[in-house]
This record gives sequence, structure tokens and C-alpha cells, in this order.
Amino acid sequence: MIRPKEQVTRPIQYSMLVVLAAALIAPQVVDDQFVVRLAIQAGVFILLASAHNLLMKVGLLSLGPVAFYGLGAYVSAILTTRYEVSFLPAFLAAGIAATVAGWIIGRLTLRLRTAYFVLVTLGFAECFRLVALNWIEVTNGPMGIAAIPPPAPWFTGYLPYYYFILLLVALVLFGLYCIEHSTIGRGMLALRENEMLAQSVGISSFRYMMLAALLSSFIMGLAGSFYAHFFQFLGPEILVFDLTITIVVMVIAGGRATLAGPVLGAILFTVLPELLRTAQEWRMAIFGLLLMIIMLFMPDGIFPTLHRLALRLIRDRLQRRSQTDAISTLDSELQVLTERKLTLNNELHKALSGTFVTDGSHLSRSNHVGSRVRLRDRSESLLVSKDLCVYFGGVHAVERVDLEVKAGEVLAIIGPNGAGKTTMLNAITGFGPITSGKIWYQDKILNKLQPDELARQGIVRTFQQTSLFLKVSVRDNLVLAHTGSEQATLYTSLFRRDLSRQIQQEAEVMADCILEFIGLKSYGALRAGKLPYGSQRLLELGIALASQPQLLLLDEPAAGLNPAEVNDLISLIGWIRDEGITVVLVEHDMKLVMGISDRVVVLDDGKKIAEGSPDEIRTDDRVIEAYLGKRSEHAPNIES
Amino acid sequence: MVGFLQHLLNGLLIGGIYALMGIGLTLIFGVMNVVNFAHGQFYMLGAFAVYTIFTLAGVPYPMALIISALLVGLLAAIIERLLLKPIRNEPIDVSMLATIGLSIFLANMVQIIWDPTPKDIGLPFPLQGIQVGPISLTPIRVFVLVSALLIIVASHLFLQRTRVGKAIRATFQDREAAALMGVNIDFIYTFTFSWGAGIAALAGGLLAPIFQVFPTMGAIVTAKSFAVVIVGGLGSFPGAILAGLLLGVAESLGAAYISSGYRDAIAFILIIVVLLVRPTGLLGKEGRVG
Repeated sequence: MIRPKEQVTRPIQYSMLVVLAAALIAPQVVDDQFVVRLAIQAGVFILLASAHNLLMKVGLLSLGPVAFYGLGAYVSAILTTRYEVSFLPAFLAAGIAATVAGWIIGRLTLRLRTAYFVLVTLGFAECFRLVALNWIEVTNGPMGIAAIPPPAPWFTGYLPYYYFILLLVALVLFGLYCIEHSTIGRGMLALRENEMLAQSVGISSFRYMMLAALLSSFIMGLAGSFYAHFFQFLGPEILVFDLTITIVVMVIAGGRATLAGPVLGAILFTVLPELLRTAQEWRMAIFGLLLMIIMLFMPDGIFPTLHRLALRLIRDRLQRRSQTDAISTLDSELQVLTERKLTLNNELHKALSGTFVTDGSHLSRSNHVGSRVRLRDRSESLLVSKDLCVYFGGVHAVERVDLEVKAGEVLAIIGPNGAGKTTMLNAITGFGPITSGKIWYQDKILNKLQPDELARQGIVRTFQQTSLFLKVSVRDNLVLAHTGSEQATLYTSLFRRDLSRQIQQEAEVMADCILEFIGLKSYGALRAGKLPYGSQRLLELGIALASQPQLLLLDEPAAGLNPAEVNDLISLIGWIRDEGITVVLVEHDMKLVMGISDRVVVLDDGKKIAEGSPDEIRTDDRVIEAYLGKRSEHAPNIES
Repeated sequence: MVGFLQHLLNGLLIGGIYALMGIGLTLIFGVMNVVNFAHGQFYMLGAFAVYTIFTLAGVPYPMALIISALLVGLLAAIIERLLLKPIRNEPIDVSMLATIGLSIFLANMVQIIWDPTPKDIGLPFPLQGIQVGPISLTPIRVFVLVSALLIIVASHLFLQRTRVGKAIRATFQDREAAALMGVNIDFIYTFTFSWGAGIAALAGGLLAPIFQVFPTMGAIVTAKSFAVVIVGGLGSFPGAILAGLLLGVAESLGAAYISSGYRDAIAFILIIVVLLVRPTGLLGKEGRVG
């Protein structure tokens, strides 16, 4: 999905042009008013489903699309009938009004997730409907607004409407296509796959979700306006829940978060009820049954299922044609897995000897992994906390901790379970609360910043529990992680496709560099979820590196690794430091801590009890006491 | 004042029914992580079963209520096994859409079997009112209110005291841990869904003599049940009871003193306000959102 290689996209682009051409000629060939009318209806639904799908792209299911559709329709209808505004300004006003509504409702609701978001959007839509029904002075209530003028006097018959909606659909789909293959599309994918991880590498969930909400409501507002002027009558029925269901069914049954899925769904579920008309009273019952069957057997949706089937067919044919050079991806994945140990070591050695630093064809390692890093004076402090406290009710998880991280060093934070290490890390990276105290980063106060803002400042963390974009390839994990540091706007996505492509290529080059760096080059095409555990932990490190950190905070990177893997990790952290990246390490594995750290800070019961070089810490009485316990004064004296 | 008390009492009556809908829906969500869009259809099926068994077949009303609840519960158990079990590990929107499909299917099947015209099921009790001070109550209303309270208390005791009830609460807390402790998760899922549907059917059967019975009556009840569950806190049993009563009273008083046109809006406004101000609901636990 992320790699629109020329040879892949070309045929798709050509087939799109063919479809467009066919749609242009179709009404000249098929001279049937009923069919043209159905096509117009399908066009409106393609707009609605694609717009609704924008929210699915960031992982949100809304049950309120009709609110924006209805608002657009009412704004346009009222402006043209009552204030004699001409069509085009009213059309745009409809889009803008819906966008403003989307902004307001988005500000209120976008912090909610899953069922909460679903039901609050449903609540808004129903409130809109009841207002349309009861605010008779403005909406004319259940009587509706009649005699809405056509867009222009020459809009007679269905044909002009057909070409108008075709134009709209083509523009919207092209825009969505551009967005999908840009920084914004990758950011949305990252959020959908793993919101917490996306935040940690600098992708702002609020920003992308709001963008999706605004675009979605804008398109719906336009669709609503079109509907009002096409049907020339508007009543509160436009806001019924059944219409929401129709749209959601189109998106989810078609294939959520894909570009083609909602289009396919919209066409299918516009035509299907018409075909079922012969079933008369059984029509809706069959519709409900079909919906259940689709969810049972194609929970991803129809398009992804067809897509998979097609891929399998092509692969089988290729296999039959030449079994030697077209090995199925599945087989190669298996092979890769069995050769894992060997290649891992090889890659690590290669990386160790710096093969690609000197490789002229690639940008050098130091250019890419640590491109934002100016090597700093070692004694300069990068991050400072003063009197940092984190309380959870009566529990003092972190109590008045002063911490200083010097530029370029590896600092380990150790301590028994429950000492407050991860809480400390969460507080620094914006993932947890700060009760009092301050944190400075290069003389700026960090307390109020969100995780994604911190990541864009260069402070990036990993998680104690493995956190990846599980459903995308290893290489794409790194490409997605790079998104947070890309400077791209909606304008770039839509109108500067050359720049979009260039940004993507840079991200891919960077991904390849990091793959080599962490020794996972041979797994690039493998789905991240299929990686063995040890390699997943390395990939996590790679994801953090891809967002170009200056300060990297690792939360128990060695947890669950075997001794050989810990050794690999030690050398990897060493190279990361050599790149000029400062590392803070929360860890239990003493071999790792003592082997790599420049300094060690010991926490116990929320307080800092010791700080110093690994050797000093090893012999510190308080540290030994914290780990092994204090000799009891009341213990019986054996000697006496 | 008399008018006010009368509205309050009517509100409590409807509120009791909302509470019945809410406790089933909230447990189904809490235990199974399913947002059941067909919940109102089980309410509708309960009403139609009572219409068939009581009005058409002449079985005594309380008996008809129990039979219809058992039948709907059985149907729900079959549905859980065939429809919801296979998609248990899919994202929440898959089960949501599946229950939407189910809801459309059930409403239209009922329309085919019983025809769409609204039906009066007739009166199970004499109509003459009971005077309590200045307020008059019909026996059916007293019966509905008392039954609703009894069902709520019985459900509470069931969850607290019995083995199955404890297993349901354990699954609610942590599915994996409960499974490790030997709880049969498959059984608990089927039982919870069937039990929630059975209570919804009782609610439908109880209100049937007061209102009319028609195939599309379930949709708005589904929406109101969501409001109850959200306001009470998703997954909170006492929250659903409180919110159900609250919604019933708010609607009754709102319709009487503010505007009857916006009566149905109260539920949705409550959803919005509660989610924006206190996303965990009135009695929900903190930290369940996001």
C-alpha cells in the first residue's frame, strides 16, 4: 500500500482512465432514465461512503455522517429558496457549514475512542434530525422545503446531474488517492495500526483525526447540497438513522480504510436493493441477512477479500509458469525465518564493519540515522528534571527526583520493581502525568507537551511491552515511523505530488539504512507480526531511530531476550551512541546496564538513592540494601 | 402538584423499563465487548410473543410473559452461537455491523409474519384505577412497576450470589484470567447474551398492554438503551438502573413542561453531555476511556 512503484501504479492508473472514459460515454449508450438516475444515486453514495471512510482511515467509526450531509443540504436549500442565493455560492457554503460543524463536533469528541465515539456521534446526528423536525420556522419541519431550484436553468433531465456528480466523484477520489500516497496517508495508517506507537514517533493523533473529520464533513456537505438541488425537495428524512446505516454498511462491507472498498460498496448497495425489489416484502429481510453473512465471512469487507483472492490467483499462475523464479511470498517468508540466525549475525557484522557508511550510492549512515544531531559537548546537559513528583492518589510513584542527562552519554536508570522507573520515563515523554516539578530539555520546559510534540523535538521512547505496526511489513514500519518528522501539509499532498513522491523516497532510503543498521535487512518484506520476538525488539529500536531522535529513552529493551540477543543489543546501543544520540535506559538486565552505561541512576520507592559510574553503583551500600534488603537489627545474633 | 406527581410516576414506570433494557445491554457490552444494535428488536420480539401467546392463544398474561422471555432468550442463544461467536476476535465495528444486520432482519421478518399494522394486545387486568392520595394508578401500571423492580433485584441477586453470576462478573473483569480459573467462556458469552435478550423481551412484554405493538418499535428503544448505558457508564450495572430511571423521569417531565417534540432528543442530549463532561458515565470507573 505504501509503495506505489511505477510498475505497479501504471496499470492501475490506466484502468482508472478506462473506467472514467466508460462512465463518460455510458449514458449515451444506455438510454434508460432509470439507470441514469440510479447512477446519480450511486455517485452521491460514493461521495458519502468515501468521506465516511476518511474517519475509518484514522481508526474511528462514526455513526453521525448524516448530520453533515443533512446540514449541507439544508444550508444550500434554505439559501437558494429563501435568500435567492445562486447555486454555486450556496454549494460552497454548504461545504463550509458542514466543515465548521465538523470542526466544532470534532473538538468535542475526538478524544473519545471506540464505543464512546460511536455513540456520541450517533447522539449528535439524532439531535440534528430532531432540530430539523422541530425548528419549523427555519426548516419547515416535517413539511420539508419544496421547489429547490436546479443548479442552473439548463439542468433539465438527468444527464447534467450525472456529469456533475461524475466530476465531483472523480475529483474527490483523485484527492483521496493523492492523500493516501502522501505523508498524511502514511500518518493515518500509522495511527490506525497503533495509535500509541504513532504518537511516540511524532505523529499527532488529534491533528490527523481532525484533518480527517474536516475533509470528511466538507465532502458530505457538498454531497448534501447536490442532493437537495437534484431532488428539489428536502425533508428531515435525510437525517434518518437508516441512511447512516446504509453509509456505514457501504464502507465496512466494501472494505474499510481502502480507497476502492467504499466505492465498490456504494455501487453494490445502491444497485442491490433495486435488484431485490422483485423480492417485495422480503427485500429488507434479505438485506439484513446479507449484511450478517458478509460480516461473518468477509469481516475485512468485500474488496480486500477479492483483492486477496486475485493476488492468490496471480501467484498460483506465476508459480505454475516457472516454479523456480516465482516463489510465493509465503514460501520465501518461511525460508527467511529458517535462515534467521545466520543472516542476523551476518548483517550485524556487516553493519559493525560499517559497510554502508562508505557506500557512495547510499546516503551515509550518520547522515540518516542521526541527521538532526549536532555533536554536543559531553558535559553539556540535555535533559534536566528538578523536584519531579508523580503521585497516583496516595501512592508517591516518583518523589522529588532530580535527574540530569548529559549530551551523548548512555544513562541507565535501575531499581527494584515498583521503584518508579517507567513512571519517570512516562512523565518525561508525555505519556504519563506530572504532579509537580519541572523538566527542561535544552533549556525549554517540557511539562505541558504531548508525546508527539516531544517526539518532534527529538525525544523518542520505546515501550516495555513490544509495540509495532503489526500488520504492515518490517520496512514499512520504518517508513511509517519517519512520517512524524516529515514536513508535509494537505497542500503538498494534493498539489505537489512530485514533492510527496520525493519525501516518500527519502523515507524509503532511510528505512533501508536503518534496516541494515539494526540487522533486519533480509526481513524487509515480512509482516512485522511474523517476526520472531527478538527481532521485533530490534525493530522497535529501529522505529524509534526512524523518527530521528536526539534523546532516545528505552524501556527495558532486553526484557525477554536470550543472552546472545542481549549481546547484539549491547553493540547496537553502542553504535547508536556513536551516532551522537543520547540514550536513557530503564533496565533490569545488569549485564546490559553495566556493559554499556556511562552513568547509572538508582531509584528506590520513587526516590533517587544513588548516582554514579557503574563501578561506584556496584559497591554502593544503599543500592545493595535496596536490592537485597537491610539486615534486621532484631535478628538473632548468631555469634553470641 | 398532582400533575407533577403523575408525570413523575409515569417517568419512573418508563424509567424502570429503560433500566431493564440498560442492564442487559451494559452486561453484553461489558462481558462480550459487543455494542448490540439488535437489543431493541428483542424488546419488540418480546412484545410480539406476548401478543401471540396472551392475546391470540389466551394464556394468562404473567405466564405469557415468562414463556415469551424464555423463547426470546433461546433465540438469542442460537444467534450468539451462529453470528457472534465466529466474529468474537474481530474489531468492535464488525460485531456492531453484524447486529445492525440482525436488527434489520428481525424487524422485517416480524413484519412479514405478523404484518406491519400496530396491534392492541388487550387488557390483562381490570381498568378501574386505584386511588393513592390524589394520584390514580391503573393495576397494569402497578404491575409493570413492581415487576420491573423485582426483575432488577432478582438480576442483582443472581449476579452477586450464584455461581454463574460470579463467573459472569469474573469474565467481565478479565476474560483471560477467568478462563484460566476454569470459567467456560463460551457458555458465559452465550448465557449473557441470552439473558440480556430475555430481560429485553420481558421489558417489551411488560409495556405491550400500555402501548401498541408494531414491528419497528425496537429502533428507538435501542437508541434509548444506548443512552442509558452511556449515562450510567458502559458496563456499570447500578449505573444502568440509575440512568434508566433518570431518563424516564427526564423524558416525562421534559415532555410535560418543555416541549413534547424534543422528548426523544433528551436521550441523545444526555449521551452527548455525559460523554463530554464525564466520559466514564455517572457510575462508571475512571480510566476506561482512551
